Amino acid sequence: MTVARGLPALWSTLLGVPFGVGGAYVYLTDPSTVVPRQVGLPVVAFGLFVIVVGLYIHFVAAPDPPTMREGEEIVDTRNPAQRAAAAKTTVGFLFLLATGYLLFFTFLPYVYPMVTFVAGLYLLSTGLHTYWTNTLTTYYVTNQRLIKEYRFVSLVRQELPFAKVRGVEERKSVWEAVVGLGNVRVASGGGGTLEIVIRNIYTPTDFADEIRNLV
Amino acid sequence: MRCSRRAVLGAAGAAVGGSLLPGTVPARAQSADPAQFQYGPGHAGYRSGSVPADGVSTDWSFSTFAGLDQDTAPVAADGTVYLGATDGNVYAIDAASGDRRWAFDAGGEVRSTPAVVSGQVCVGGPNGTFLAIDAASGEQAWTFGFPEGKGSLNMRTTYVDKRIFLPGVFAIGAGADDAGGLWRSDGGGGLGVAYADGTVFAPDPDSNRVFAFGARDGSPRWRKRIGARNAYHAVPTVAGGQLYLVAVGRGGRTVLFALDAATGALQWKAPIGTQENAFSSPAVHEGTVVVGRAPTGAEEGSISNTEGEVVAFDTGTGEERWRATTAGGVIDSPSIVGDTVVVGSHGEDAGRLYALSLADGTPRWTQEFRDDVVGHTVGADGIYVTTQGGSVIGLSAAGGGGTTTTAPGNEPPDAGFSISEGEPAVGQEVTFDAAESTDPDGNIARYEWDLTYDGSGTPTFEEAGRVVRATYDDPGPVGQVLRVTDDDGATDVARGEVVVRDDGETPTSEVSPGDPTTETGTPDSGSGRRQRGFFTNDGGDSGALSNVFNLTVLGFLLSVAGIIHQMIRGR
Repeated sequence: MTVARGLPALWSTLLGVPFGVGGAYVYLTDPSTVVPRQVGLPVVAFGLFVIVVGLYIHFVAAPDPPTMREGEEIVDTRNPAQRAAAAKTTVGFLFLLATGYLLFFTFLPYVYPMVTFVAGLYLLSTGLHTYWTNTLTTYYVTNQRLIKEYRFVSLVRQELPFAKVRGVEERKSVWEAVVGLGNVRVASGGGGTLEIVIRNIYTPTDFADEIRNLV
Repeated sequence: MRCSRRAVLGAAGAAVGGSLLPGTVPARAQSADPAQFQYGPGHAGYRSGSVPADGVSTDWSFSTFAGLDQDTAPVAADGTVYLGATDGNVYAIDAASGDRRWAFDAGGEVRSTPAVVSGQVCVGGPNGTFLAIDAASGEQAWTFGFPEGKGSLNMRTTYVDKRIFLPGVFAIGAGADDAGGLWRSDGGGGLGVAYADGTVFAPDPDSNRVFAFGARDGSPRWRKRIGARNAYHAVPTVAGGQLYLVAVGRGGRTVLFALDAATGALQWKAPIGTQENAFSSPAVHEGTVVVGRAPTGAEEGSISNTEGEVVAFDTGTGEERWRATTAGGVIDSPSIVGDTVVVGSHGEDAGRLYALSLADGTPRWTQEFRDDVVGHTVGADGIYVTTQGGSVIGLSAAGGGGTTTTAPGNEPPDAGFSISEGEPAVGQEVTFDAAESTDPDGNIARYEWDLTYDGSGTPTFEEAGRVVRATYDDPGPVGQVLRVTDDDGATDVARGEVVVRDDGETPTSEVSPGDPTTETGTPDSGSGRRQRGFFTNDGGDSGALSNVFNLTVLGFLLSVAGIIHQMIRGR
């Protein structure tokens, strides 16, 4: 069994442990006479979820390289970078820390910690999702086609023969622009368009040019 | 056990052999007065008589409400033991039975060992005052206020024929009903002064000097620079024409200095050891000077509970004669009774009172106590010990009970109680349970409570029973005192406190600690939680939105579901 790249088990554990410890502390010590200690239970559960999924991804691993056709060879292999995921996760974690502070160290109405909770949980969740998805995604550029492979539970493989490519487009989301990453969208023409979006990669322009040269 | 940062008080009595001839009465001719610190005006610490040869046992134990901060020694006179306590009282305790005769509310901590002369108990009081209390009735005779409030809380008393000499140096003329200032010197602070041959001797930490003043008018006689700045803590001793002073130098090196009392000339100096502060005043008799050493404990400012010594030197040469190891630091000043040195010490598991041979320091017997020993006095019929926990303990020969009503050898009980709610709301019932009180050699016969103790004066025990309940109508801290009495009549007290909060306050996690045997309960998890709303805290919000547990569960569930859904779908 091939272990996933980037040590997702390690990073997921590092992210999940504070939730587990913090939630356990709240539940066991009941530090606040205002917030019930049962609040610690879902926090612990979330921490365990992060750790367990990280371990699963670590051992699920990215799929093996696709089988090459006759005369076909891999020109380039790209994996999504994790900068955007790290940025989202970090900001989300900070918002959740602010939630804990507002909840346990102040007596403000719940609306205040709820706002930071929603924002933090959304950012953390999208960051986690991005991180795990990127870990399980690999892009292959051969001399004949573009292949994207992704596997969480089941393998999903998309391929686009260069003969059918009608457009190569570069894009950057806000987060990608902040951290210096970008997307390349490679689309075929016609109805029922098949397109492959190569996300969170370094030097997207160079990658797009590489595709264009192969088209 | 941590010791108070304040040094041990000592009350020095100095007797002036006639106000007309202050400089002609030799020290030896002045009778030692047992109702003063170290039994005499020069604090020589010698008392004629003998101590029990085969050990002592506890006759009675009297508990003040001082908690862990008691640091004074008692004095005994006319069948009564007198003590100034940090609970704000001056006590008179029957020396035979341990019963309280009276308690005088001084209005603040009393950290001065009393001197009892001419039917008055003279003691330094709080807030820059000096008190005289009628020894028979416990009524205040007079109060002297120091000019500019300069009286130290830790002042030592030197009482000499209606003259009181206090560090500063202040000389007060004490009458039956009033007192007035006589003279005041420049220099001479510290904790106390010594008197001999018409001269008052006063160390001055601020200037590294020791001063000698004429007792009649405060005229300077001599001064001598010794030791390091702010180094003096122990009360000096003068005997046999020599002044003995313990000075802590740089690096904590402590030295015993012997100066000629007439001229201040240095006779010799001898190393005692290393310690941060010097509390123990030297005792002198028959060519031997004995002093205790109190090394610093693990915590800054504390006294060691594992190491201490009693050291004896030759008064003529300063040669060390013997050095005895004790269980912990010695802040008590030794007594020399006959040929025995009596001294108390700290200890990791128990404080101790030692009886050592004056000749070679050989231990003759050791008595253990629950708390560290901070002072003692040897009376006509017993030995009386003060512990840091605020107890005064009467001892007599082992196996003998004297005329006490407490069974000989009885161990006092150990009071303690739990509190169901440390931060109750106004009107919320609080349960106090004394189940953890124990008696090592018998049973607890009586539980008495003062559930509204304000921290000063004597508690009023109006409740009885092992478990009592109370509700409080006013917010703020409220003290409680438990007194337990065992089946032999010995007592012990424990203190606690709750902080009553009103409806508009946010509870905190702090509850003030009381006596070390008191434990406070943890906040009740079910009751007492304030209502916290979603938009406001006035209780008018939606119940569902105000349930933080539900909101937390919902949020995390949505997060997990969203992540799993997106990952299964892929992009």
